[in-house]
Amino acid sequence: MPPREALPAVQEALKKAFHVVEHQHGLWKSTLSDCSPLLASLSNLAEQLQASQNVRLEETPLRAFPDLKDRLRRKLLAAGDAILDQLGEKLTSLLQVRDTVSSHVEQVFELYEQKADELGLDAVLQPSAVSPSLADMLAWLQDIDRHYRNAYLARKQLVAQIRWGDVRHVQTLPPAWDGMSENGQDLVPDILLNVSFFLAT
Amino acid sequence: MSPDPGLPHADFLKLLPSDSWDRGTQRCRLGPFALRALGVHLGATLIITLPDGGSCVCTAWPRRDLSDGFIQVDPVCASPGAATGPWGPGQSVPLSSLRAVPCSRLRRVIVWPVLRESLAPSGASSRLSVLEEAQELLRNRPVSVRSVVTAPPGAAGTVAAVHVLGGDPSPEPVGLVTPHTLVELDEAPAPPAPELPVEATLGGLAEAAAELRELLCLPNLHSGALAALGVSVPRGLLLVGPPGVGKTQLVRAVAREARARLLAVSGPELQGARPGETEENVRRVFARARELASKGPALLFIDELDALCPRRGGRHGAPEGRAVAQVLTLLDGVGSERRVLLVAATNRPDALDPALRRPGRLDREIIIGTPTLRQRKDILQVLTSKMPVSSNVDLLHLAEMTTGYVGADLTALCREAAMQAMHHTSKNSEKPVIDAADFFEAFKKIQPSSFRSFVGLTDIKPVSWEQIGGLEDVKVKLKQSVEWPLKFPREFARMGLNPPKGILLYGPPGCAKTTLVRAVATSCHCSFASISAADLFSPFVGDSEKVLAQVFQQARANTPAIVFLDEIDSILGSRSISNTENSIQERVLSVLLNELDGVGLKTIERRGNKLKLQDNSKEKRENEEEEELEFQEIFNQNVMIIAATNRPDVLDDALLRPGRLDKLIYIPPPDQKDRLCILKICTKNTPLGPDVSLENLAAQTCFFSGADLGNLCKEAALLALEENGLEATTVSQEHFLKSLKTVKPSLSHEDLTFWEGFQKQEFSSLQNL
Amino acid sequence: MDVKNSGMVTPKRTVLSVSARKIKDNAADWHNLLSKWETLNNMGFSIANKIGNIKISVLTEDKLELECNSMASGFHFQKVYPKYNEELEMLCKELHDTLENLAKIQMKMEKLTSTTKGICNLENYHRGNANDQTPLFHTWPTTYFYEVSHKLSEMYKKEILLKRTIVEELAHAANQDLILSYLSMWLYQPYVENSKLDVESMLLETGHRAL
Repeated sequence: MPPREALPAVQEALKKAFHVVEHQHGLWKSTLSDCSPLLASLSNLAEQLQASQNVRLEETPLRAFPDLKDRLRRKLLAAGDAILDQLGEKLTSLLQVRDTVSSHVEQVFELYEQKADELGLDAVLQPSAVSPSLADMLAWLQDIDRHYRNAYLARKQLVAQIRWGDVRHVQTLPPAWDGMSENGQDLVPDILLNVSFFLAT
Repeated sequence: MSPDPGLPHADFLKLLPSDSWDRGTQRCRLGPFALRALGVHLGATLIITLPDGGSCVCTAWPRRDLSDGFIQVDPVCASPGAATGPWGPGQSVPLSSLRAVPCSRLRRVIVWPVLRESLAPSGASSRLSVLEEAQELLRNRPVSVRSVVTAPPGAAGTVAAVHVLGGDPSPEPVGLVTPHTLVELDEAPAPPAPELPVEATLGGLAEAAAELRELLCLPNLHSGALAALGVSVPRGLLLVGPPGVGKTQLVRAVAREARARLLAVSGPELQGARPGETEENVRRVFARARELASKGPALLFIDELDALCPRRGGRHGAPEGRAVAQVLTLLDGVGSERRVLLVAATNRPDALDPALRRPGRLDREIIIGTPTLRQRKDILQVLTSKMPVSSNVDLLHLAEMTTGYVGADLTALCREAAMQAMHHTSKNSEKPVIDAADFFEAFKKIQPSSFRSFVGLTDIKPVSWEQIGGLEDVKVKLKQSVEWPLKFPREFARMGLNPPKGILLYGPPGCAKTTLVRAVATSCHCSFASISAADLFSPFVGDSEKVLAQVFQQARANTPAIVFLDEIDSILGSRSISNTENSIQERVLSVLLNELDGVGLKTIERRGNKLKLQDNSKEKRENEEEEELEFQEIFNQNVMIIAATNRPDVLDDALLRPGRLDKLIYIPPPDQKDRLCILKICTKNTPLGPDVSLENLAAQTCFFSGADLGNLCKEAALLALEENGLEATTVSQEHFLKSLKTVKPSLSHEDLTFWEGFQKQEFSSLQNL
Repeated sequence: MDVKNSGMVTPKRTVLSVSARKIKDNAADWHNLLSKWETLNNMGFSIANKIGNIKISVLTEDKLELECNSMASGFHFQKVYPKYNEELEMLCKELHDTLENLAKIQMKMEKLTSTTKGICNLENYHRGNANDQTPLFHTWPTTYFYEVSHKLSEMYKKEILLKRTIVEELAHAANQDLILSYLSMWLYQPYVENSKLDVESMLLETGHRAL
């Protein structure tokens, strides 16, 4: 049967892609966990900004320092920008994860396209004792790719929305960010679990 | 697995909603059989024609469980306006509506992004981020020109959907957006020329539809002008009308026409068992409406609002009160931010909490009454437009017949007629055609829904004028006062005549008063309610009056209508004669007087359209016809009361005044000529002996009333049977003469003089028309 | 004897004049003072933070109690405060001590500045008001050291004034926003600007840091 030659090739490519995903997912997660304190400090800064805006220094003993408010604000904003820079670096790492995964998924699909006719439908549909069906695994790779792309986009937009003018919004960032992480965070581990036997063979 | 040709219904795939993990993947999950039949490999592009119209572009994937006979579609990329679910159970897609298409890689694609309004940022950076989002959304998807790719719900970002406008090579039928495809943003294309309003589905509701449409579209089209005027846009609308007039239909049609998103819920559906559940449901519905509104005009339709928001402080407890308060709060919040138009429908507006019915909440109220003659004709026209109706069906005539029918009833009527047609054509399998007879047959079966709870509704046994012997001048008078206003309204209008409000038939008992009324009802297809004392009187205080008022209300809803009060003397009596003890009768009388001559109608009973839609291009002849119809309609707004009594002397004077029972018709006992006619009619089905001389009998039966004569004939026939045994074939003169001895006339000379005297007195005191 | 040397030597000499040595030492001192200040400032912040937290929790508790039973509040006042007072007092004392240490540093900064000024004057005197502005090290004219020192010392003088006010007022602030503002002022030192940069360039100029 013709699948004899094509099947191992595709399986090999799949294995490689899933290994890459496994590795990249670790990077992704650690990067995300690095981001949380940054966001917390951002929100903290926003709170301080808010407080300093609310306070009327003329009514306190600090009235002796006329330019204090502006100076403080400038200092706080500078601190905020520094954090944003760090956050930007983290986003770049996330982007790298995304692109690495995408390129591998793309390669697998290209290979499948080439071998599709050779493989036929049966070989693609049938799962075996140790491995899910090729169709499932291909679909999963697609899902993973889409997951990273969407997750990156959502995070990037969240960061892009930060405006120091809207202090209250900045304060809501950490929960929004964490909510995003919860959303579909199990997708990749679940899929990896499903293919763990396949990867071990 | 080899293809199994024996699979049942393999050609039809049951349409299931896509699994949650497939949302937004554009996958179409198929069984292996279908995949083989299509000859595709994984991820191949399919174009699927959806059962409810529209099509979508998907990629082919096998079902996880590899079972055949199902299809799951994730309609991310669909033609605009395609009914992309949720599909009802039992929907299926034939395999033939799936089409595998080759998919070329696009170098360039031009899209128009639709943004979520709430989050839309401004400035140049937004354009970049929108572009990026559009790129991500389209990445690795096959798209087709003129289709819409929708972002999965819950996805972050500002892009809600993108319309694919074109590309290079043109994605016709489909093209694949690869990571290397250049995505370009474009403005919205000029909207296609506004389609003709989908009036076809809305018979006779043009006015209400126009008003609703205006409310829905105005804030969209002229938001700038409205803002400049400082006008806040109406945010609520209450549709009032009896059940089945098409309130729900109207809202759906207008929403579809205006391309507004419609969220329809029914009031009882929102009710929850747990405390607070109702409010929660209400909040959720409003939240969803707001969500919908972020993408365009949206319409929240709450049917049967009275169930959700009953009058507070009534018999109901606090829970309802809380629900009402919740609705009020949400309503006040609705219009301020986004364009949600709340449309509520009820058939019991009085049961609603009054706080709802004020500007700022339900600003406007549209009352849809039972359709008038013209509206019925419109509705029938719409309903029959898709039916093979034979040419002998006169819709106008049908509309005349179907007094009191609402849209739903007319639909039922047409359906029934179609069923009839199917029955009689099932033998010969030619194309069924519905003819007039089918409609008449259906007419017998379908009763207007407003009649179903009608007090005093009577199934009249049709009686034609010819079946009543004699009384020619009485018949003329009756026709004049009842039939003419209905049939020749123009003439009445020309002469400045108002049709009489009420008619009192009086005369000795047994002289066909009731039969005459039946004949009247038969000849002019009217709603006909007959009220007797038994219908009215009840042991509860105030109940009788309520029933009577209800009768009139229903009659007004179903004009032209005749309310027949038989033995009116027993119902009412006279205020002057009867003493204080009979106070129920007095109250009933006052209700009747009010109904006859009251100030006006209750607002909720209003019907018909004030808007006259005259088309100038129509021929003059047709115009006249239209006018004729209109006249008829105006005249038909009336409820006519026919009362019958044999004791006119005890009636209250106020009742006999003009404007109330203003036409008094004396029905005299039959004279000789009449008696002959009556005898002829009574013996029509009786085989008479050759010796029988009806003239002779007529001469001998002085003081016999019509009923007496009928009795006489019956007696004679019985006698014949008695004498000649059961083989009797004829009734001879002798039998008549014999029975003449036993049957005594119910009238006497004194009676007659009394009646004659009363008639004279009436003539002198009242101007007869 | 310096004078003769200074007049003759080229700017890029390897053996520093006394003035130059002094200035170089000053620069190192600046650097040390700054890092000491930084440490103290952080210490002070953590103390101030504790004070702020106590204050805020007391405030919110008060508010709650006021809302709950405004009638019995008088009774609660006596009950709640002693518990915090001890801790608060201790912290305030610590903060005060920290402030005094900071103030000492600031004094040293001023002393450094005046030393620098003295050197400048001396240099000017030796050069006899000539327009000879030969830099002692690479590019900076001698007076510039004084200017930088002066600027720095003024900055910290202002800052210490602000901090003093904060220390005095923090424990008495009755408004959460105000407390937060005090804290962020302490941490972000609004009057200290680019001090690190100035000192680093001084270090660079004097040869502490290799180019």
